[in-house]
Amino acid sequence: MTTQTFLFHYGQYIAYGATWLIHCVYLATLVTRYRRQRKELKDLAK
Amino acid sequence: MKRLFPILAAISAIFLAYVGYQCLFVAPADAQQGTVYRIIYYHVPSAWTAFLLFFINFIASIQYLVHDKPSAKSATNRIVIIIGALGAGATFLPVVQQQLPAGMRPSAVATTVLLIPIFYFLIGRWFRGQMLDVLAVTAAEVGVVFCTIVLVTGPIWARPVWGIWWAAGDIRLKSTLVLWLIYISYLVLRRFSNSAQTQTLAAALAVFGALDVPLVYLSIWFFRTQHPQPIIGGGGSIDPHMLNMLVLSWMAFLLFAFLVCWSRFHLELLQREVEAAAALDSLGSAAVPMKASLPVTRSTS
Amino acid sequence: MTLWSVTLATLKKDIRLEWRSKDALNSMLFFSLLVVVIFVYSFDPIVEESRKIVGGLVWIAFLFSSIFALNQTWARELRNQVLDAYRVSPAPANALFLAKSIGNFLFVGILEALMAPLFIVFYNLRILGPVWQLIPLTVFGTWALVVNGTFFAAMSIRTRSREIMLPLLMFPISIPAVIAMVSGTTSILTGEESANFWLILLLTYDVVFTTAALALFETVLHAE
Repeated sequence: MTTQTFLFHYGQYIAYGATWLIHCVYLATLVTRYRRQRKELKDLAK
Repeated sequence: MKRLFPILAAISAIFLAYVGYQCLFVAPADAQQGTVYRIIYYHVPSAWTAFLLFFINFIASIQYLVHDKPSAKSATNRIVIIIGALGAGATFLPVVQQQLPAGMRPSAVATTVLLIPIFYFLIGRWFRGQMLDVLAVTAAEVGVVFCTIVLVTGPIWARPVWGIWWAAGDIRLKSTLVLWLIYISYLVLRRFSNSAQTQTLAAALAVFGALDVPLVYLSIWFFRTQHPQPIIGGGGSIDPHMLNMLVLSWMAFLLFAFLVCWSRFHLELLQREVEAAAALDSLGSAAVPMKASLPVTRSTS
Repeated sequence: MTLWSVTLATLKKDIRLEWRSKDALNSMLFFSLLVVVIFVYSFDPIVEESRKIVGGLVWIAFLFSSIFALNQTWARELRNQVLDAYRVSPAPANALFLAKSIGNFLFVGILEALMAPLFIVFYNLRILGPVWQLIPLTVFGTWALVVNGTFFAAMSIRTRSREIMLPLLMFPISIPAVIAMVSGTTSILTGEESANFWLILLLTYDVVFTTAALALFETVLHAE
């Protein structure tokens, strides 16, 4: 199957997956950064 | 407010799932493009969201640059009102109406132009001083995320439909790429710069970037008229069912984007709180973490 | 202490200092020759085709050479704490910016004047369009690069990795100017289209960004 036909049939799912992958990666970075800040705040409070 | 977030998050998730299901499985197949055209249901709303966020960043940057200079501030206020009034009024002139692409109602354009001063004054009312800068960085970062999605899903759509990954002359693609690059450089500047001046420098960069965008559009547009590409879609009237689905999808993404921005906004506030506490700590004073007060109540900013 | 008197004084000082050391000038001359040679070896100059791409090559060469010049813009000021002295002096900040921009303009202009004949020779170029248009095109285009470059160089001095910061900030914003310069040059070289639109666009770009830079430079200089 060529790239053309593959994308013709499955393109929408790949794009959908890519969209949410990017969103999830970004949200994960937000969570990580949030946790790091909370930890730093707790360390400073000591 | 805090209890609102999980409720809205749940609503957003349900909404997005519903829209996703509708877009992926229920929406009818297109005559020429088959099913792959459905990518527009999240490609286009992502683009609209990204542009909206970049616009918010632009407004917040201008307001931040003038927030402590009363004369500049009142001058800017007046300019914004004039732009809004002139722009909205201009759409009623036949000369201008001829330039509009087919299908675009002048009243729609007028409403959009009026949104500029409305946004400007609302943001000025709701966000003060440092909060403007927090808003700016939030909008820029989330905007870049959405813009990345636009640039990734675009080629995935283009390849099966037009046969090429990147339509060399396409004005929207190229303009979006430049916009994305400008805001990546904005984020890089914020990352690489020290805290005191960063905010002002970044705001200045945002203003430069915003001034650049119409010029980018113009230059690519004229390049295309000199080197015409085969007409590759876009334009033309859109099936009203598709339009409804598109707008619905956009609403879902807007709610989601709002929640992401909210989270990022609070992360930024937390980060500044930590920095302030760390600074106090290093000065040797009794380091009581300032949990009760938000950074905005500090007198030095 | 008018704007122009301060600008001219600063400019003369810069030119005098640059002329005395000549270090930067000499290395830049050799660099421009090397850039042209690399392009000549990478893009084979068969006459008919070359006219279409030389516009792009020339401006890419100018763009990258100007980065080197621009990075040096504020280096001398930083070394001798001149910027702090300037901040407390009553001299208008814009004068400093104009002086630096004009100085850069002259410097990059010299580079271009040296590289352009090399391109013409190596690529056997015969210019088919109106040659005189190349002058305003080069003037407007160079100013477009220099005005933004000087401004962003000032922004970058307070960042880490300041040498790489300048092109990172400058390139995206310069894209419409680059399109205009390259398309305009190609139009003039091939003689196929009129370069008028590109000239007007470059002029507009120059006006918009010179105004923006002058309006915001004081803020950037005093950002504390």
